[in-house]
Amino acid sequence: MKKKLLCFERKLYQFLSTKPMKIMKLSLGLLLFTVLQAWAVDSYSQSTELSLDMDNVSIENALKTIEAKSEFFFLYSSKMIDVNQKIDLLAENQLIDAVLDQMLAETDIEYIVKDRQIVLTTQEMINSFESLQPLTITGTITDDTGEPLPGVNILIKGTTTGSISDRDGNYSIDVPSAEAVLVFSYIGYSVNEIAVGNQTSIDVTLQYDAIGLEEVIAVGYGTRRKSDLTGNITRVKTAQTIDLPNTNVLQALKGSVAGLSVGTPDRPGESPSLRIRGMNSISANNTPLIVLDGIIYSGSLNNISVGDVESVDVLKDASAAAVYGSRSANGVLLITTKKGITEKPVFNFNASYGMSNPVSMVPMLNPDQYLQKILDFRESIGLEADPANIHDYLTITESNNLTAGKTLDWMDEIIQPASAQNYNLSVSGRTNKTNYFISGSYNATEGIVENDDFERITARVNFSNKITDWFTVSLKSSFSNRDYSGRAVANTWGLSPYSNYYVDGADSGELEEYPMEDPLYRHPYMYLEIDDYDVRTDLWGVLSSEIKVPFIDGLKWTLNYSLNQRIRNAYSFTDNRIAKTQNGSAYKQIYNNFDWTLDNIFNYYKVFNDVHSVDATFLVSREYQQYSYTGAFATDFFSQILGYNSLQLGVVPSVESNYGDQNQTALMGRLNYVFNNKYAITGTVRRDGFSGFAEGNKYANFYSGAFAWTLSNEAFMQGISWLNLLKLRLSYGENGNQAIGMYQTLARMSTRQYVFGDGGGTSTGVYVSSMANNTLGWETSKVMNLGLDFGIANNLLYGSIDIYNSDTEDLLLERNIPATSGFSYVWSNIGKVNNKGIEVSLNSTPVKSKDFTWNIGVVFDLNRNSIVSLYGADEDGDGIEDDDISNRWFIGEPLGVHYGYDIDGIHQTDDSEIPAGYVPGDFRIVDYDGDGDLTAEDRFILGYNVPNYQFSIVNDFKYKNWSLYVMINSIQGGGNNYYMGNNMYSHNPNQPMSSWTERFSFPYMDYWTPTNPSNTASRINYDAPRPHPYLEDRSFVRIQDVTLSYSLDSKLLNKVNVEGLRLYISGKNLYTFTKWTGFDPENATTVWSYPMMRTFTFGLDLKF
Amino acid sequence: MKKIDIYTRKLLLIFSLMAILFTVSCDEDLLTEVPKSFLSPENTYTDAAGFDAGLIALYRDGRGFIAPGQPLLVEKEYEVLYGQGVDIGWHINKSPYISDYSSLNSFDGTVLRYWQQCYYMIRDANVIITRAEDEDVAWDSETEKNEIVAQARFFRAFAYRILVWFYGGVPIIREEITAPKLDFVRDTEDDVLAFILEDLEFASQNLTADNPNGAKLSKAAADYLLAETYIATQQWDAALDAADRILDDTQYALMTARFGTYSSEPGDAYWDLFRLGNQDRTSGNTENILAWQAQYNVDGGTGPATGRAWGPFLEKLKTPDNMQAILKDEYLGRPVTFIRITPWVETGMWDDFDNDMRNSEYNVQRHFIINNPASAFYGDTIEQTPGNYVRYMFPYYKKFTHYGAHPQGYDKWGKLYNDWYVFRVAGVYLLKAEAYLGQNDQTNAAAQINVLRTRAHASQVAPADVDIDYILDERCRELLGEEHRRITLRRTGKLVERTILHNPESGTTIQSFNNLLPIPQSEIDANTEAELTQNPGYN
Repeated sequence: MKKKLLCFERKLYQFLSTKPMKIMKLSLGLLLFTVLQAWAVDSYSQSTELSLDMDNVSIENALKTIEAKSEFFFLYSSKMIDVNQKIDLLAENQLIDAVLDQMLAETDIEYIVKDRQIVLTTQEMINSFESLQPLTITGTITDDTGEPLPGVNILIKGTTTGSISDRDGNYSIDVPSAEAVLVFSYIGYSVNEIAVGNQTSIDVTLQYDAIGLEEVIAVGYGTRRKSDLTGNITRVKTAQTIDLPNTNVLQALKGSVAGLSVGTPDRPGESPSLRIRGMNSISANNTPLIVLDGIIYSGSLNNISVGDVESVDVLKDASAAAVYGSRSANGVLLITTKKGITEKPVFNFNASYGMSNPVSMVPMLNPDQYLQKILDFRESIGLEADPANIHDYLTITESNNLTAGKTLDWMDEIIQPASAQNYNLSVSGRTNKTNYFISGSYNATEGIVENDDFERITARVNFSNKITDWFTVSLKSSFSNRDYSGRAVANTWGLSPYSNYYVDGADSGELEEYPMEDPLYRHPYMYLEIDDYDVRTDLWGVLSSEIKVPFIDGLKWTLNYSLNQRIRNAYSFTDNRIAKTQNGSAYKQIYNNFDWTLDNIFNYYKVFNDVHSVDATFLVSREYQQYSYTGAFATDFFSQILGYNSLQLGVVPSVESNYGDQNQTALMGRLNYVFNNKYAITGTVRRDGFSGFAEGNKYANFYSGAFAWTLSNEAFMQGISWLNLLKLRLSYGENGNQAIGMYQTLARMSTRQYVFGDGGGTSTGVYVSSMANNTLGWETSKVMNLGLDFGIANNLLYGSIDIYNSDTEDLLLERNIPATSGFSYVWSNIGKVNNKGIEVSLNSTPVKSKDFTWNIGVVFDLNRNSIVSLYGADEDGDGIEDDDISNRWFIGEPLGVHYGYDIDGIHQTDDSEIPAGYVPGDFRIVDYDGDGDLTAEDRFILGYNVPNYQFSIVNDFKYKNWSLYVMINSIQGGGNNYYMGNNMYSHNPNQPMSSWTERFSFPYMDYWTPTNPSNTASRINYDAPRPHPYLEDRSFVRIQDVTLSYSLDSKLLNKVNVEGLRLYISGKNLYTFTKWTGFDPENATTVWSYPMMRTFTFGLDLKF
Repeated sequence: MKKIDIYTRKLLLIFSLMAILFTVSCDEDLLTEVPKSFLSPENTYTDAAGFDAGLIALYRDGRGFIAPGQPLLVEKEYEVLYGQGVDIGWHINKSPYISDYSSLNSFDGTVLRYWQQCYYMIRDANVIITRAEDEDVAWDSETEKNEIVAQARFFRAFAYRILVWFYGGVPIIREEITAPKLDFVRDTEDDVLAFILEDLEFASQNLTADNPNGAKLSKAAADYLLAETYIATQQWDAALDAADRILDDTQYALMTARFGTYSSEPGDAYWDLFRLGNQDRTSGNTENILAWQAQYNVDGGTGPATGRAWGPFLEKLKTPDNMQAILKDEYLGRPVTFIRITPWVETGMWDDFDNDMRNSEYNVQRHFIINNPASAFYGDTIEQTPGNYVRYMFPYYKKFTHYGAHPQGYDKWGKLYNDWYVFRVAGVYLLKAEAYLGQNDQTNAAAQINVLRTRAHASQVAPADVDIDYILDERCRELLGEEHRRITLRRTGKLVERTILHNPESGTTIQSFNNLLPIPQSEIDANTEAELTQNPGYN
């Protein structure tokens, strides 16, 4: 290998040497530069000693001998130097310099040693190099508080030659001449351009640019300076929230973007919900499109370690999102992972350990309440209920425990503080040609019930290399392994406090299978005995090549090819103790998803005459997605030893498999023109094709246009000194939604099994399980957006305000139809929904000094959606389009209404008029139409489950080495019956499993009895004759995240070769102000589900 | 001209190749969907094999009215068809599952699920009936086609029979529906009955007479329902003809002697009819016309959950020394009482309590003995008290469990593995009795009933004593939990009257309009282009 390389370089050298002198010199200079660059260490030549003894040999032979004896190699042109001269050479353990001095003493040959490589040349050559030798400029870069800035990009304007500042802010760069102009840029800071002139030392102070106008933002199939944007794109950098115990990148976005709602997961490994600008579609997918490192990503965001993410750009308005046409109706998130910044490799290690505890728990009935419950129940159904005979009403176990005075608090038994650990190690760096970022992470999160655990390992390698000036290849790849194994401990809400934990008391140590005797309520810990394996592996990679097309300056062709393979292996074995009747039951299920995407992107960017900036993009794209599933099941195992790995031991096997694939194609063109940094227009056309739609409806076109006017750059505004930025944006665009999945237009058949006759085997039958729809096509949203970006008083206050109006047509609806037809729903394109809203994002830095900085950011958004039209039917002839009660869709009302019977307290014993079917203790249904009867006509719209408005406030304080981050988050209903949730489980003891109250316990509530005339919770065995919700306001204000961090003094750390060490402590979900009586108002969770958790985390972040 | 270096040359070659590759791969048919893991009606119903597969689903739809794991009905709801809320029994919690009529309204889930399950069955039948006429189907013969269509039409009639007696006149759907339909209107009860007769006549003419094991439809099954429907439409002669077609077939006869797996154990012929494995005609059972099939540990072999539903909640019984009195075991399984039989069913209906075989100690467990060996009171008879009588201890009709044959000791979900009779020969005599009574021929009516009473060693009924109530009593004695009692009572116009007479719980709340169930509100709501009128009394 080495010899080959040598040979090749020698040839190149010779080839260059045949050129006329000047070119040759330049080329050689270039060669030298690169070669020297590649071997930037001198230690070899300084440590290698040679012993030689040669008489009257040619220089050429001498050189070959040295090459053979050592790792040195020589570069020279035989046309320029005479290597046939004969020399004598005697050396004993001498360094190469001494050997060469001796060898070349009699010749006019000069040499240059760089590590293993030695160039032979002439004095004349060296002189001509030296005349070409660039100027070296050095200096220090600091920010406006005087702190050194490492990692600043220094570029010679008009070239790709550059350098980067080191950790002390020092830099050095060679410039070709005094005419050169240096461009200093650093993310988050204003760009500074300085002409070199006769200076050799240039110190620079970069101004913090709060608005980030110079920032380069991902816009989909390309990037653009923020100042040139015409659409509504918000960038979120994860650096701010890096100290929060987030495992999912979405959590890091919470509260930072107006109009973006991120939910709160309540179980380990769960992905939070995500929605941009309310709901557009009714039943098709509402999840925004995720684009990871420039390519559409269909995997789970749970696969991405938060530490790997550099930034997330949120495309909210249609014009910005229109480049993703059919996929963009719900907005687009562009996630960019990290890359190398400095030449010196940076290692970063982040570790955190946290502990979660449940908050807002609702207690179960205590032992006394439980006994009372039994009496109350018996009384309610007319059975003897004499406290003296309580033992007769209990099971034997309960009765014995009551006698012995033994009780159990099941919540105590199963709820445990849950730990979460997170480790992330990365190394990144770059050279002139290469950029790399390599990271690995490990996360282990426990659930607050045992075995509800989640473990994740991720690895990411981002690598790019410039092969030539005009050709760059890059590979971004990731691996993730998520482990959801283990069947969580079961719910205990129903278990009696007089249960047995162990068989015959604590001594046995063997779990009592049915703690309260009832065979339908197993010991919650029995589920731990189920051997459950559920591991999901995700492999993802994008290979891209970027070519600067020759002869056309500014034209670039990018080819991206991405692969994503997702495999889920779910295995389970339930032994014959738990699966008794089946005598053991096991399965192996394998889910395999495979996607690929191929994007051809042509991009042209050029600035003409310094004022006309043109940016054109053209895309040809194809996507393919495939899933396949295989499941094997068996029951009746004569041996319980091998479990799911030997299904053939099960006497009763069954298998199933499934497969599907889909194709998408897209063509997209986008033109962006900016005049003099004042006016910018963008136009986009995209044509999409999707295999999932019906024949003839597979293709659709989407158009958008946008205009932006930066008023503050106009001459007439220049006089207003307090105004830093004023920019007006207006856009209109169309987006599509195709999120219905494959094969939805076709009638599908499903299978069903039967047996015929004793001893008969399985017979498989088929039936039509869904109706065909031969007209299914795209759902389209048309969105108008008016936005204003501003910055005033030296950016003391800056932000943006957007208002939008969106109409979604031909909604993809999963529409209920009468089951009389044999089908209960069908996918259709129907109707029109309007969304309008306002989004405000304000930022300020009220205090900024060397020691103390305070940043505050506020986002607010309000969205109103309403159904404009459904089917256009007016059967009742009232001139107004009919509502669709069956689907709960009402003209003029939002999607997400609570419709039904209203309740108005509880019927009391002395109530005079109790309707038929109701007794005291039942909820009183409101006779809405006042006709004296309860009929279907008494149902009406009770409220909405969508918010009225939401806001968050982020405060960021920095004092010397301390920093404090506080985020407050709120969603409000605002008293207009918005943001209501059904909390029936806290108000009816007989829920969620009707009639179980007789045998089982339930969470404490003030339920009605003849002697306890409650008005909030019904009688103990209330089984609502007419279904109705118990609506509660879900409005809340939450102290979402608080982090305190301390950075150790860098000077101290530098002594031990550490660049930075930050320690932090953080709290999540610290306190929620709400009237909701269930668990989490945000998720509308209530008892019988998982409680909300509060998490405290300690962590450290080490750079070295 | 600048010379291009070798790197660039190589790269240009690669890029040209790539560019060619990607332009070539653009394919016109790229977006055409071809399902690869599910069938479509078009590629299924092309020959007899595809139609047969469609029929298998219909058998399972049918079994769905008694066995869990089926399309819709939930476990406690089966008993609504078999006797809950009428003269047979009520649900222990009264309100749900149509036991307390005062709280019954159009939002009731059970009411909805019966409607849906019937119409799903009609859907599955209509796909076969409609597509069988397709010219492209490769039928071997007209007979082959007619036999398949006959089975589908039987099932369609079976579903409409439930619908018409539960809800009254309902929309008649004659063909496969392939596009959303939102304008259903109710047909009259008479039209639905005529439609049922049309289907059953076709089925009777085209189904095979041969009935090897009682697992599949045969001519007799169609004739059985035909006889019943003719009675409902007062076509007495036609009813008698249909019934006689069964009785004249030598394949069918009452089982009067001991038979089957357990015939060496103490017992009687009636008891043998319900032992595990004895329903299949291959066991020697000539009485079975059709039974829903079950098979232990075979995929698709889910059986009825009758044991859990009809038996007393024995596990709550305690010994005086505070131990479990009756162990959950292979004998009685684990009953939990979803249906509490009425005192009339407990004892009142037995007019020859001591002699009637169907009330023998083998067939009805009336005394429960402490079988927990750990107790000092082992072997003692448990006393009936007001405390245990309501739910924990009352007579257990043992046909509902496969006594002594619960495979793994017991199944806590009450699963059984025996086949469940849809029609057996005994019912034919009762239908004939009804038809004769319709013709005011009490003598012949009594003769039919006495065939059954003879087999049961019960006293003979005098012709003068035979009226419709006596027949309904006898049906209960013979076919408790087998006949669709709600249908029988509705058909004979006795539902409200007998519920008031015999059911101390439901009887106090039932009103005359409860004769029909309400039309599900969600169906009314979803049917936006026409009105599905609600039955009177409900709103």
